[in-house]
Formats: sequence, C-alpha cells, structure tokens
Amino acid sequence: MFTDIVGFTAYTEVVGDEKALAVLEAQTERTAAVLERWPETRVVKELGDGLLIWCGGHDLGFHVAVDLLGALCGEDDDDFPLSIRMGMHHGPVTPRGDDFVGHTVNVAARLTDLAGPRELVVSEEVVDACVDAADVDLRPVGPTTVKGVSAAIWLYRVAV
Amino acid sequence: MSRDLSGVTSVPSLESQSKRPYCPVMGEREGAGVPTTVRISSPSHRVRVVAEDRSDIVLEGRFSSRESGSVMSVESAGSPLVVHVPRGTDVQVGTESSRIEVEGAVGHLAATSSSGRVEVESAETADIRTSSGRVEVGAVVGEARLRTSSGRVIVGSCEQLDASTDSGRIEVRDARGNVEASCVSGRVEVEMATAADVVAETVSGRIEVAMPQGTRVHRSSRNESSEDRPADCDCVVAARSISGRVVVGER
Repeated sequence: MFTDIVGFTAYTEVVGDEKALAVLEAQTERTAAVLERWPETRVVKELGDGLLIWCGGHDLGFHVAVDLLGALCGEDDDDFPLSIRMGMHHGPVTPRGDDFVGHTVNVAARLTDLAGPRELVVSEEVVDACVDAADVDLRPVGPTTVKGVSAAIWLYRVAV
Repeated sequence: MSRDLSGVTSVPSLESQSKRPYCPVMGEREGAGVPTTVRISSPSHRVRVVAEDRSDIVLEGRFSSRESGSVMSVESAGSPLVVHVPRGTDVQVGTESSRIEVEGAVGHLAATSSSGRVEVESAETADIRTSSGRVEVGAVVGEARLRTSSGRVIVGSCEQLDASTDSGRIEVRDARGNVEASCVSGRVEVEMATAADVVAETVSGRIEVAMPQGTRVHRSSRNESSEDRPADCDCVVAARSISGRVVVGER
C-alpha cells in the first residue's frame, strides 16, 4: 500500500521546512508503532511525504491500513495537523534489493491518487484475496486504468 | 440471442420470460433476473447511461459484456457506448478522457474520470472522482462524495456531502445534511438548504459556507461532541486552517 500526506507541499510552503520535517518525523514514529503490532509488515521506502508499505499476509492489509488511518488522521492533532490517504493493491511483487517494483506497485500508487483525505481505496483484487472482506464495509468507487494495462481495475472505498 | 446488425443487444426482464426466453449476450439462460448493477469501463470512448421507465437493459455500440450474479460488466470495444437501464439501477462507470453522461435517475453512482467531463442528472447516492475534468450533477437524493484534484465540480443538491479538492473548485448549491469539506489550495463553496453541521479543513485555500438566514451557528476549531455544543445553536461549523480561510455567512 501507498500512503500520501494530503497537502504536504502546500503546508511546507506555509509553515517552513522545520515544522514540515516535524510532521514527517511524527509520521515515521506512528507508522513504526502501528507496524510493530502486525506481523509481516514493513515500510519499504519513503517517497517524499509518502510511504510504500508491504504487507505479507493476505488478511492483514485492511487491518493495518485502518490502524494507520486511525494513528495519522486524528482530530485536533497538533503533532500531525494534516491527513493521509491510502491506496492498496494485491498481487505479486518483484524484489529489487530491499525495494519492490512491478505492476502491483504501479497500481497501488495509482489508487492512492484517487483517494481523498482519510480514505483507503482498494482494488477488487484486495477484496478477493482477503477472507475478512465480508466484515469490511466496502463502497464501490468505479474503475480506473493504468497506462500499459488494458483491463480496468475496479475499486472500493473502505468505509471506516 | 438477440444481437442485431446494429450491435444492440437486448436483455429482457424476468416478466417477459413467458413471451420469449432470456438471452444474455454470452449465451442462453432461463430463470434469471435483470442485473441491478451495471459496471461500465470505457477509457477512450464516450459513455451515455439512460435510466428510464423500462424493465430491461439495452446496450448500443461495440462492446464486450459478461454477467456475474446481479452485476453486468460492459467494456467498450472501440466505440462510444449507450446503456439503457431501468430507473434506480446502480451504475459504476469510468473513462480516462472521454465524456460520461447519465440521464434520468440512477441508484448508487460511482464514476471516475481523469480528464473527461461528467454530467449526471440524478442519483440516489454518488461517489464521483476526477483528476482535472469538469463534473456537473443535478441532484443527489442521499450522500454525495466528490473528489477532484484540479477540476471543477458543481452539484445542484444533495443530502450529506463529503467534498475534497487539491487545487480545484467544488460548488454545492443546496446541501440538506452534514457537510465535510476540505481543500489544499482550492476552493469549496457550499450553500446549505437547512442548518446542519459542517467540518471544514484547508491548508491555504478557501471554504465558504452559506447558511439559511437566521441560523444560529456555533464556530469551533475542532469537532465537538453533542455534549460540548451550546444549547442555543442550530449547528456547529468546525474549521481547521493553516493559512487559508473558512467563511460562514448567510444565503
């Protein structure tokens, strides 16, 4: 899954680099605290204010993502005054050192672009792979396409 | 099979099965009902959905389709699509740069577009997302959820509203329920038809909320519980802004 801090660039311009850096530090700490609770998860890399997170267990994805949303989208949070959005896709990934590349990664990034603040957008592949999907409130979002891929990817929003 | 030379396939309703067998696109089958959800993907070609007083689904254009349970999936095969559906059908539709038009009243509408224009007459509920396209929605009976990066979204009326934009513009003319609005550097303008709670967040943009005349508004910097709000207010506007503006006025 990918995360992205909504409005981080504009925020940095307004408050300055030091305060913006403090927000990134808060994200790093809280994300680490959340992932400690879940097996087979890790931050693959940071991309500016976004994160690529890998979840090895098929059933974990929803729970990890919802846990992260709770940690990073609280109300009246002076240490983290912005919100994140998240996109998640399921499929094989190709290791490249400590990194992952490939179609699954590209799709997850695209899904993040479609999410709004405090939203988790997932692909139908995530829904099909997760046995807990029946317990999750999923709302249809519609299809998206990824360059170079002919088939549409059908999306859902996880209502939390 | 009823695919005629013009590429129209008619999917008759359960009621008409006594008159002719049900003939879906992929083969013959009896005893099935009309799909209640239609999913349409057309990256490069225009899609027009017509919700009307009918009991069958008719497709026009070059397409491939399949059914699974109560869901019909349609994919453009190189031409614009026209999809006639019964009023109240749930529709999920997406294009990249082409136009989406929804006429009549559909059920739940989920629409995505990168830069194409989206025009909707009426929906029970709506979730519409665009990157830079223009979206115009007449009326949403229930919740409207709107997302745009840099585009422009205009909604005539809705119940609850959840709207967010980066640098685009969202205008809602008559919101009758609670509102959540956020923008980074863009603009959100909401006219409230009734007094209801508003949560507004912006980094450097502008959010304008117009309440009905005489509404007693309690301004708050945070979401308040019902126990915290003053007893003599009609609604609460909770606003959070870094350097933008949240303006509350009267219609």
